[in-house]
Order: sequence, then C-alpha cells, then structure tokens
Amino acid sequence: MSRDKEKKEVVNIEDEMSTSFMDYAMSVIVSRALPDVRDGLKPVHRRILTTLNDLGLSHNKAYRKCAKISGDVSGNYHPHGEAVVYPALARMAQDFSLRGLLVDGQGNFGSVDGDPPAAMRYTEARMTELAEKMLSDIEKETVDYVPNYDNTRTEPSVLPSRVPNLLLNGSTGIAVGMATNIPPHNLSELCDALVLVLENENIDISKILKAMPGPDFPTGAILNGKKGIENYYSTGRGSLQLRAKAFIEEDERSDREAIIITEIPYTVNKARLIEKIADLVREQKVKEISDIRDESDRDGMRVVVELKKGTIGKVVLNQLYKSTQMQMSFGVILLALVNNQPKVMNVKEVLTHFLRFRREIILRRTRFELKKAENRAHVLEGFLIALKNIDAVIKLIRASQTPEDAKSGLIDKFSLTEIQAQAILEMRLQRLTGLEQEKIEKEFKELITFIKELGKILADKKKQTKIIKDELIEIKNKFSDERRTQIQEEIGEISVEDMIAKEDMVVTISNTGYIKRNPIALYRSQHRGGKGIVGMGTKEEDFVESLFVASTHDYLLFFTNKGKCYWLKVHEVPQAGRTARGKSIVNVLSLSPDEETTAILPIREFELDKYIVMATKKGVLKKTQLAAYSRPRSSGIIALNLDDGDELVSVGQTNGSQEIFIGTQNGKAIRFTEEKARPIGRTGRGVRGISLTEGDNVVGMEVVSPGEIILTVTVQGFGKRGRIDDYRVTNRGGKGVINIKVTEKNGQVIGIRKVTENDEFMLITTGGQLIRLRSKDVSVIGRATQGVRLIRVKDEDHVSGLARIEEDNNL
Amino acid sequence: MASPKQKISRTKYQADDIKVLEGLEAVRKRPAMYIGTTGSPGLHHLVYEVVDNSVDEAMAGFCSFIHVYINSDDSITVEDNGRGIPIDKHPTEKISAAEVVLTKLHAGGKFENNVYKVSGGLHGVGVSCVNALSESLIAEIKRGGGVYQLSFKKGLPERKIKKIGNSKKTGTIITFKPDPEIFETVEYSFSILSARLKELAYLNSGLKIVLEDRREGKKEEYFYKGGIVSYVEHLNSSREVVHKKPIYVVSKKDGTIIETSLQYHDGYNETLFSFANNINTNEGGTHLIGFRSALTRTINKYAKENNLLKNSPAPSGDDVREGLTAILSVKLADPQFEGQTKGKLGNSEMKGLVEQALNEGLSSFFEENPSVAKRVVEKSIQASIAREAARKARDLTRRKSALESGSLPGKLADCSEKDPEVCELYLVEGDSAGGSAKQGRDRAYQAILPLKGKILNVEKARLDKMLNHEEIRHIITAIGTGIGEEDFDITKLRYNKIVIMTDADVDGSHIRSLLLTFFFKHMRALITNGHLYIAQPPLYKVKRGRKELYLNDEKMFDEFILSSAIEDADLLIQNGMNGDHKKTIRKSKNSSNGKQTSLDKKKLHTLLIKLSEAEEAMGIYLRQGMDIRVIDFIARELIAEKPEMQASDLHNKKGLEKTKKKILSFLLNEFGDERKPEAIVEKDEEGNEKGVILRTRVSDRELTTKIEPLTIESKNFKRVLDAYINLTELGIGPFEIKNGESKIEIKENTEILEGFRSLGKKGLSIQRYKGLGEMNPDQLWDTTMDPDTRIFRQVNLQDETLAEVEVVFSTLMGDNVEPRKEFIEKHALDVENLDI
Repeated sequence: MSRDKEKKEVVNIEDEMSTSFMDYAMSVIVSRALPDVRDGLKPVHRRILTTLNDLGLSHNKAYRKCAKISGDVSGNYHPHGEAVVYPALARMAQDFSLRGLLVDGQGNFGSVDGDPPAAMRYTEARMTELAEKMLSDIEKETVDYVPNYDNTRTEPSVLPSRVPNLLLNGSTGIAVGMATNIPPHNLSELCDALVLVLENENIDISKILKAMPGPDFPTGAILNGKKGIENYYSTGRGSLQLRAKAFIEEDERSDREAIIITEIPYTVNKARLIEKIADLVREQKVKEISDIRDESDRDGMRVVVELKKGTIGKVVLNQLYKSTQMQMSFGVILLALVNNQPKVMNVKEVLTHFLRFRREIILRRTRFELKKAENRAHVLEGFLIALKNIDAVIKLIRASQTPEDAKSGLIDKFSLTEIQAQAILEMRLQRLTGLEQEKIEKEFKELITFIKELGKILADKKKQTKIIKDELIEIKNKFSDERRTQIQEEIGEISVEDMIAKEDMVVTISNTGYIKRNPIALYRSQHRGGKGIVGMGTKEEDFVESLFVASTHDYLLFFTNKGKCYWLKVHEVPQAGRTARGKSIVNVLSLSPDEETTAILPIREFELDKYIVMATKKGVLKKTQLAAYSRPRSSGIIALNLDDGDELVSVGQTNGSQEIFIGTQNGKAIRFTEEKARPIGRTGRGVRGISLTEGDNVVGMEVVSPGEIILTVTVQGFGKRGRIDDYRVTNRGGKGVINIKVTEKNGQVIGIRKVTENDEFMLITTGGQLIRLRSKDVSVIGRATQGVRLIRVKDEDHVSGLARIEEDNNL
Repeated sequence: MASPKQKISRTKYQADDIKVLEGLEAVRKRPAMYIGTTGSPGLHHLVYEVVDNSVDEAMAGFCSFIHVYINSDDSITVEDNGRGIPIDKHPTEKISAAEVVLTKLHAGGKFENNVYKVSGGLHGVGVSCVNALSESLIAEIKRGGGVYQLSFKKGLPERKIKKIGNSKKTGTIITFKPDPEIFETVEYSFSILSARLKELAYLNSGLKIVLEDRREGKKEEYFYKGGIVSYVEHLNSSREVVHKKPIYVVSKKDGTIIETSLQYHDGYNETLFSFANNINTNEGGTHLIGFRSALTRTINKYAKENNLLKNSPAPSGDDVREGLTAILSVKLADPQFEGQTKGKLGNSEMKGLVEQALNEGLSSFFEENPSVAKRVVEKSIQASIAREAARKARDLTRRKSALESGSLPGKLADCSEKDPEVCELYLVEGDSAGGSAKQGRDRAYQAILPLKGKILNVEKARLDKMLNHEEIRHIITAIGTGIGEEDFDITKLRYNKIVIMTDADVDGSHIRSLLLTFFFKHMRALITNGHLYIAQPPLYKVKRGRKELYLNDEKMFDEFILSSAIEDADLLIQNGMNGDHKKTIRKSKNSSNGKQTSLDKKKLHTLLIKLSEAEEAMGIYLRQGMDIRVIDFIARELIAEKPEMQASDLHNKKGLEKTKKKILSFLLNEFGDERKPEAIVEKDEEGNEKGVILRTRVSDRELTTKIEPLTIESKNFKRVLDAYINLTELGIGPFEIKNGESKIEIKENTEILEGFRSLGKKGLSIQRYKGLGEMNPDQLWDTTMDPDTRIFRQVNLQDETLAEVEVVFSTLMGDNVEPRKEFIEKHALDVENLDI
C-alpha cells in the first residue's frame, strides 16, 4: 500500500499534551465555569437570558415551553446540547438556589430534596422582572456583540445588567486549577453598599460590612461568626460557617424533647440530610434519637427529630451539627473574570467593577440616545423649513417630473440635506394642519433640550454618578426583600464536650497500664462483706491498681513515677465494658518506655488559688500552683524533679489553707498545716514532708481539714477509720505518729484515704476482685489498733488498691 | 559540593596530550553513523557534543559556567570558562592542537586518562564531528593571556588560528551552524535543549548552565547546589511526598563515583532515571540492576526484621518501586555502552558496586529514620496487595488467543485484515462521531473504537482502579498488547497505528490529553516505537460558489480568505508619494489626486501574508503583556530614513537612556497617556545596562515592555519589521481596493489587511466543525481518514526530555492543584485555540 509515503507531522508528546491541556483549561476558565465580574453570569446563563429576550418572554407575557427555550439556546448560542442547558435554566427558577430569581417557572422545577425538575417538555418558563432589568437598554448599543459559534448570528459578550448579579446570586464553578465559590447577598444591602462605594471610592471595608453585614442565602439558616465574613470581604477568601436553624420543642405529655429543623444551609439536600441522620442512628453513633419525620409542606420546612426520654436536646443537636450537614462551612473564593482573566478580588473591588461597568453602560446608552435624538432633530429641522415655505415646496414638487427631481430641487432651493428632503417627500399631507405644525415645533424644542441634557451627562461625571445611584435605588425599591440568613456572633467551634453529656465515670487503671472508663451506674452498691463484682478483666498477673470517679468533662492529670505530668480529658479515655481490659495507657498517653502513672488527679478547672501537693515515696513534699499544669504538651511536662530512686506516690489539690496528712507503709502518719510548705515552681524538687525510718515508704498523702476522717486499709483486707483530730499537728518533716498497728494478720498499709460518713469506697485485689463498701460500715477506732476485716481475700490474693467514691454520686 | 570533582594531578593539558585516532572525511558521508540520525535528535546531538566537552572540563574541576545560545539564525554558541583548548602546535600533526581537536575524529583529551579521568561524550567522536556537519564553525579560545580564533566551513579550515586579542580569563567559545544540506531540519527546539542542559546541571551540582534563545528572547538558568537531590525534588515538585527530604547515598571508590537519590510520593508511578557519566542510560544496564536488587532487598529485609510484613506477601521489585522517584548517577573511568541506542551500561563490575553502596546507605538510612522506613514499607505492602487485585482485573482484559475474539469489546468495529502491520485503530470520541467513523472507514484495515465520555485520569488512579474502568479496559483489549511490566508484549500489538480522533473542540482536547496520559503511563512503548497518532479533522469547510474546501486551522483559513480576495481584487496605490517614511506607517491622511497603479498580484500576496504575520506577532506581544504601541514605535524608528534611534543604541548606557526618553516622549505626545508611563534602564548582574523596561497602562491593563538587544533580534520582531518594510514601499495612501466595479477606500495602510479580509469573506459559506458527528461519513473519510489526503500527527517521545515529560504529566494531571495553577498562569498567554 502507498500509505507508507503518506504525509505526517511529528509532535513531541509534551508539546501536544500542554497544548491540548491548556486549550481545555483556558477555555473552561474563560468560557465555561467562571462568571464575569460585570453581569455575574457564566456563558450558559447569559445565553439563556439572551434567548428569553429573543423570544420576547417578558414577565407579563405568556410562558413558553422549556424545551423550546433550551433548544433555541443550544441551536443559536450554546454548542453543547439541551441536556446541559435545561438544568442551568431550571436552576435559575429555583427559589432555594437563587437569591434573586431570574426565571419565572411554571411547573415542577425541582426541590430542596434534590428531586429533579420535570422533563422540559412539561415545564414552561419566562423571565422575571428582575431578569428584564439585567437586559434593559441592551438594544441601545450598550454592550459589544460577538459572533456566535457558527458565525450565523451575534450574541452579547456581557449583559448590560442593572442588577449586581454576581454578589446577589453568587456563583459556584470548578475550572481547571482554580475554582470560584461566591455566596449570595441581600439585594437591598448590596445596593446600599454600592451607593457607599459610589460616593467614596476609598471607603473602608468596615463601612461596607455595616451596610451589608454578610451573605444572605435563599435558604436562610444561620451564619455563625463574623471573622470569616470579614476575611472574605477584605481578601476575597474566607470560611463561613453555616448552621441549620433548629429549636428544641418539648412535648409536655410525654416529657420528651424533639429537635425541630426549619432552615438548612445553602445547597444542602434535605432528603440526604435526613438519610444521614438516620444512618447515624442506625450505626449507633447517635443513640438518643427515637424517630425522624419530615413534616415539610407548602408552609415551609419542618423536620422533626424526636428524642428518647430523658435526653438533653442540646447535646444531640450539637452532635448533629458536628456530624451532619446541618452545619457546614462555605469556603468563599471570590474569583471572577475581569477582562476575561480570572482574578480573586475582595468585595470592594467587585463592587467597584460593577459601578465602573454601570458608568460605561450609561455612557454608551447616552451616546446612542444622543445620536438618535440628533437624527430626529435634523429631520424636524427640515420639516420646519418646509412648513415655513410650504407654498414654494408644494409648487416645486408639483413641477417636478420624478421624485428624484423633486428631491434635488428641494436640496438646492432650501439648502436641505438629502435625509431632510427625503423626509419631506414622505411627509403626509395631514401634517400641514395648524395643530400638527405646532406639534412639530414643540417636539423640536423638546428634542433640543433633551440633546443638551444628554450632552451634559456625557460631559459631567457627577451627573453620571447621580444616574447610577438613582437606578440602583430604583432597583432596591422595586426588588429588595428582607434578609433571610441570620448572622450571629461566633458560638465557637463545637468542642467534643458539647456533644458529650456530663456523666460520671469510673476510671480504672491496671498495674500493667490498662485504662478504661465506665459509667458509674454499672456498679451496684453492695453490702459490707460481699464478694464484689469483677471491675476489670485483667490479663494474668495483672491487677487493678487504681480506680476513681470523675466527670466526662473533667481533665485528668496523669503524674508518673518519673515526676512528669500528662493531660487527658476523661471522655478521651476509652470506654469499655465492665469486664473488659481497656486500652494500654501507652496508646492514650505518650509515655517513655519505663514510665508508669502513679497518681491521677481529676481536675474540673484550673483555678488560680488552687495548689497541687505531691508526696514521694521518700517523703519529699512539693506544693505548686495548679495553674502551672494547665498547659500540657503531648510529650508531657515536668511535674517535679525527683531524686534518684525516688518515686511520686500521691498528689492532692489544696486551696492554700488546708492541712497535709501523710501515711506510711509501716503505719506511721504525719499531719501539718499547708502553710508550712511554701509553693515552688513546677520544676522544683520540693521539701521534706516526713522523716522515714529505714525501710519505710510513704503510701499516701491526703489534703485534710480538722474534723475529717481518714480511712486506712492494709494488704490483708483490714481497715479502720480514724479522726484527724486524733493526730497531733506537728511540724513538717517530723517522724509522725502511729496510724495503725501493722501485724502479720493485717499486713502493711496499702493506702490511706480521706472519707466522710456517707462515703463509699472501693477495694481492689490483685486478682481483680472489687468490693464496694460504705464508709460508715467501717468502725471509727483509735490510732494504735489493727482495724476490722473489710474484704475476705483468697489465698495469694491481697488488696492492691483503695478508692473513694464521692458523696454526691447518688448511686 | 557533591560534584564529581576528580582529584587528578594538574597535568598540563598540552598539545602532545592530543592523540589522533582517525580521519574525518567519512562523517559527512555517513552522518547517521556518528550522531544517530540526521533528524531532530541528531541536530540536537551536535549541541550535546560541544557541551559535553565543557562538562568534561567541569568534571575535572576547571569549569563552573556554560552558556549556550540559540542564535537568531539557528546557529549555536557554547561558551565556557574552562581552561580553553590548547593552542600550541601538536607534536605529530604539525598543526595547532585546537585544530586537531576540531578536525580529527577521536581526538581530544579524554583519550588520555590523566587529563580527564572521567568523561562523558557518548560516541567519543567529539567536537570534530560537529565541525564536519556544520556549514560554519568558529572557535574562540581564551588561554594563556591571549584570545585566539579559528574558523571552518563544512569542516575545512577557513582561517588558521590567529591571536585576536588579550584576556586574563580562560575558556572556549564555539559557534556553529548546522549544515542544512545534511540535516532534515535545522531548527532548534528550546524545550529539547533545555531538558538536556537542565539534566546536566542537576547531574553536576555546582555547574551553572545558561540557555538563551535569541530568537524568542527567552533565557533560562540552571544551577543546582543540591545536584541529584534537587533533581528528585524537582521531579516530585507537583506530588505529595511520603518523606520530606529525598534519601541521598553517595559512594566513591577507586575513581568510581556512585550517587543516588530517591524519594517516595503518594502516587503509583515509578520515575527512575539512570545515568552513566552524564549519559542517560534509558535502557538501564548493570548499575540499574544493582540499584533495583538492592532496593528490593533492603526494603524486604527491613520489613522482616521489624515484623512489618505480618501475613502479607513480601513486596516484589515492582511493589517497592511504586511511587518511587529516583536518580542514579554513576561516573566511571571506562564506560561500556551497549544496546541499540547505546543506552545501556555494560560494565559488569557496576552491579555489585551499586548494590553494595545502596544496601549500606539505605539500611543505615532506614535504621536512623524508622518512621520513614515504616511508611515506605507499608507503601510497598499496599502495592503488593493492589497488584494482586490488579492481576485479577487484568485477566479480564487479556485476550486469550486470536480465535477467542469474543473477548473484544462489543463496541469495537474491527477491521477484516488481520495483519497488524497494515491495521489502524481509531479511538473516537463519543458514539455520534463513532457512527460517522464506522460508516466512513475502509473496513479492510481501519477499526473504530468509540469511547464514551471522558476516560479516567490514570495519573490519579492506581492500576486496579484503572483496570476497572470500562473504557480503558476496552482500549487495552482492542490494542491487544496487555498492560503492566510483566504482561505488556508489543509483538501482540493488533494495529500498527493507534489513532486518537477527537472533536476539534475543547472537550476533544481534554479527551486527547487524558488518552495521552494513559498511553504515556501505561503503554509508553507504543509511543517510542511510533505507533501513536493524532488525527486532524478539519476545522472549517468553506464554500464559494461550487468550490468546497476543508481547512485545518485558523491560519489556513486566513490564508484562504486572503488569497481568494486577491483573485478578483486589486490594490490601487498613489504614485510618486514616497515621502516621509516614518509617517507612512501609521498616518497617511493627506490624500492627493496623483495617478493610481495597481499593485502586482504576487507582491500583494506577499504583502498580505507579511501583514498577517505581523498581526500575529503583535498578538503574541499583547498576550505577553507588552505594549504594542512601543513595539510599533521602535519598528518604525528602525526603518525610518532619518531615525532618531538605532539598534546600536540598545547596546550602551547612553543609547539606552536616549531610547528611554524617546519612547516616553512618543507615548506622551501621541497618546497623552493620562496615567504616566514609567521607564527604567535595567542592569544585569554585573551592573551593565542592558535594556529598558517600560510600565504602561492601557485601559486598565498593566503592561510591561522590555526593550533590549534580544527584543529586536527575536523572530517575532523581525516579522513586524518585515511587514513594515513592505508597507513602506507602498508609500502613503490613500489606497483603494478595486473589486470589479466596486471600490473600497482605505485611508490608512494599516487597514489594508482588514479590507481584503472582509472582501474575502464575501459570498463565502463557512462551516466551523465542532464535532466529528457533524460530518457526513464520506466527508470524514475525505478529510481525516483517507491515507492519501489525511495528515496525521505522530506522537513522539524523546529520551532526552523524558524527565521533563514526567513533570509535565504529573503537573497537569496529578493531585496537587497548586503546580497546575502555576503552569496555567505561566502558559495562559500561549493559548491559541480558545473556544468560546
């Protein structure tokens, strides 16, 4: 075959690639996805309006089938098929999409539930009055026309819009390498802002913000926070937080609450939103919802989310805000085409561009009118000359052989122009009546004044400004309506706490560092001497070491044997079943390999007049302001500097005027006033708290006040309560007094705890057994005694922990 | 500096170092033997040969700067600051050493091991070969305090070596103009040269290379302190990387240097370039084998030692290279190149050396950076899982045997011929175009595969996802070669020509770029073997009377309109009015009633073509953000009889100041610019004045115009100048266009073009094609598919530019938006086909 000789060109792939890609990218940028800063329209929308205008579908004419309109748009201007045109047309008629409707639709044009519009053979449309204002004066040579795609007709390159459409309706578009996302605004406010900029070019953004406090979405809802709006106004970029409008309704009969949603954020699909909420319920992510009903009807939107009994509506609402589109952020990118080039602008620049455009339109319109008036005046001038010499004119015409003769005769004799002569020849005889003559004179005079006036407009910038302003005010008076979106001060980011009910939790930590939390209600109250229930399933050779009760919103300060302090919120502690092991603490905190937590302190708030008191195994005591621990790092902060071989044992919180009570393994205890230890910096070492005998260690420290009671528990499950007042107040650093008699039978002291009469406390054994006891069931006895049996420990098993439950935990 | 500065004894590089190995005559007879081809690759190869000499100097540590100029006549100048070629007499050849180097094949310092220990230069034929294939060559050598010059014509000495001046500097400047008798084309491509020079700069850190295109006034500088690390960073610049700093391993042993840098990104493609002595070993070789096995082994070893594998299979070589960008550069004393294009390193010792170096370097890197190591291993494991998934998907696309053609996509309208050699496959956009193509084709050898919608962007997708995409599966099955490293078999190719045939609109462009991405990423061999083509459907059909014509682009369209206007119209000019030339260009209002003559048709044609070229040039200036009033002014000044400024003014400070004042006063007088134009005289790095920069505003647009010697040397400017010279010859107007009885008056000579254009469009019916479906089947055959009339574009991929091509694809089609945005902004002004 001869095909080997065929002609071919060689292109390098990278050249072909960049050319093809750039052709596509630039075309999408310039003529598909981005709106023009002047009329705020993308080409497809501009072409739809042009077609509606071509078809004469003004707001007071009859509707026309959408199929016809789409077909005309596609055939005359938009080379992309009606399948693309019709959705664009339909959107212009949706009151939930556009703030200022441009198309008046007849039929089903879709809904906020994402239902599609009816097929275009059913629906009908025409322009709204507002859309007509976007086209006004188009016949007066106000805008440039360019050839359409097949050079068969011309189309306007921009519409001479009187409406600041870009900001009124906003725009969304993804081009290549850039995107635009402009929110809609309130027309009335927009006009006010335009007038402000018109009157003072150098106006401050803050003044604009006052006139136009923010976007105004057709779907209403709530704009949360002003910072995003300010950023957007001054830079063209900002993140707005939109929230659904919802309130909590109480059903008095059933004592249940329900969340009623009446407005949802812009562009959110209601049906999908409801599905999403239902999904959350199904997946058990939100457990408090019992039913969802969409009660929306022709009066408006109403979605009812029914809650289970005893649920706090606000918490659920916050959860819904956080995890559904009931709250969304609208990332503004104010990008539009200026001279066919994409540009990110601030709001003032956009307003200025529109005003500049208006001035240009007015100038072009005025020039057009001037030309027309001058032409008319020219003809009238001819009439007047003819009327003055009417007899001679008639005579001349009658004497002429042909119309051409008559014309040239008129031109020669009365020094008329060709146009004037032609007009005279075409004049009807009735014009010769006296009344008509007067009319012509009057019209001529009026025209002269009009021409003068137009000349003045062209020469005087102030006059133009006045016209711009008047026309803006006219638009405002005619079309503006109330703001729909409510702007409110920042509520603040919904923190995790807002979605978590305040609830008391039992936090359990095992010896090998497993941590978990359970709702306190899980533990039943038992009588003294019972076997206890299993509080934690532990690995072999592991045992529960620490247990306490704290609210989910509390902070946990973890103090480690290395003298470091870590920080966690209680709800961040993994929740696990009662018998589950929980999670290893290294997964929760970033501890160094041989680091163990030895004390955990639940803190509600970091108050300034509170102190942290710490006691170490070797009897060192350190007091530091609580606030010093309020700024934790994930890698932990230093809590105190420990001597070699020393460990942190107990940590307590004081108000600055309390007493310190330290107990030791061998049954010694010391009591002294807090003032004896002055507060020192976070990283300091501390002072001597108690002088220990050889082999003795501190087992615990409590912050106490006179009249309180201390519970002491020993390894073999014995315990006793003792009044604080029985212990002499001594100096800090002394040897202390006897607290309990340590014998074979009861074993060494495992811990001391401050308790009240109504307190309950828990004992944990190394085997994972747990017993919950009432404080009042333990006898209050003297110091030098052995105590009573609190728990029956099995062989090899012994008590490893002691925890107090707070009095108001109404169990 | 990580550069391979060789510690060599500063042996004197003298005349007796130069050894003559062979004569030169054969080169002109069989050029392809020495430079590969006489096409574009060979042409560019000449530059590399000269530059390689300079790079050798750099590798030896004597040169830090190379400046390459593409002159406006497409000649090349290469300037370096090396030691300069020796100029003293050669002991055996009895001529100056420089002449020996330039005229004798295989002559040069690189054959003497103590001058250059390591040296590039692929074929070793050296600059003498360049000389032989050049119309003219001038060498200027600065050495030993003197400046010497010698020149050649077609390899023969023209002027003997002569001292022409003094200089304290050293270096060599070689200017040559490739011989059009030998080369098919003598037009240099900036992008090809730039890719290679950039590569050289990356491979030789600390070496600064400047490429300056005097035709377009374009200049780029390549200087990378980080060497190949910077190269890897550049290749990954538009990707999301797994670890921030590329891994860098270097080992120097017995004069052999092994350097490698690698970095993983979150994509799925492998980008791996290997070099031996600065030569791109695109076919791999021993060093690459070593690299690959070390990489696989180290990663697997680390995974096992750290228990990262769990139950997943050990990652294979393919898996560990998924998302890898790496450069491997070795420098050795005696490289052996093998393979078809000498792109394969054959030194067997290199495998072990590279393997060892990378094993050590990478292991210790992993040990010290466990988090990076973990991510790399995890990535490889992910890849191996995905590979398994892809294998299953791929089986679907595999055609089992020729008989089982049932697995071919139903949409494929196959051809009856089975011999792949004559078969063509058309990938057609959309079913509407597919219909036209099916009816219009020659079913004997043309197969049609219509594609629905936009195909998947494979740059962003992993293999398994890609293979699940129906359209892509169809393409793979139809082509028949299979896909992926193990499966791809070009001998199974079912069609010799794969033709992308998309609509002539922007969506067509988009689909074309998506298809190119697919072929580049997954069937690269089809491109390198020249199987991929792009069909060019016509853009216009014009009809005048009974005559019908298809036109492929806007330019052809314009030419057609003008020439049909000339057919029946004449340009009448006033006689004897050649007065003030300067005025004639823009203004010629004072009409006189002198005699009129009509311009010769041929001259008229030339004039109109020149005018339309000038218009295009002005359009480019405008898009580049320049003020065309200034360009216009300078062009007129330069051809005026009594010019107030001259080209030479741009070469010195005084002249530049004068020019600046002239332009400013012109703008103020002629246009009374309300916004005051600004102008400054710009200085270069050394503080010498080199141009005037003007900042003006025309209706809200900020314009910056730079006037320097390069501006008026550029092709664009020459086109403007040319048109103006032609216009000047016409004298001042008014003119008339006479078309039969009707006459159109043209007041200004700048309106001549428009006058003829509107005349040409009269009585013409124009159809602008938007889609292929718009054409009747026979029209499609006549214009686009008939081998006798069609013009295909063959997609070409040059090895030299591979790295840059990778960057282009990842920038345009990748995940990161920012680099794409930058690319668009940079190239926005070059776009010609805007679809509105």
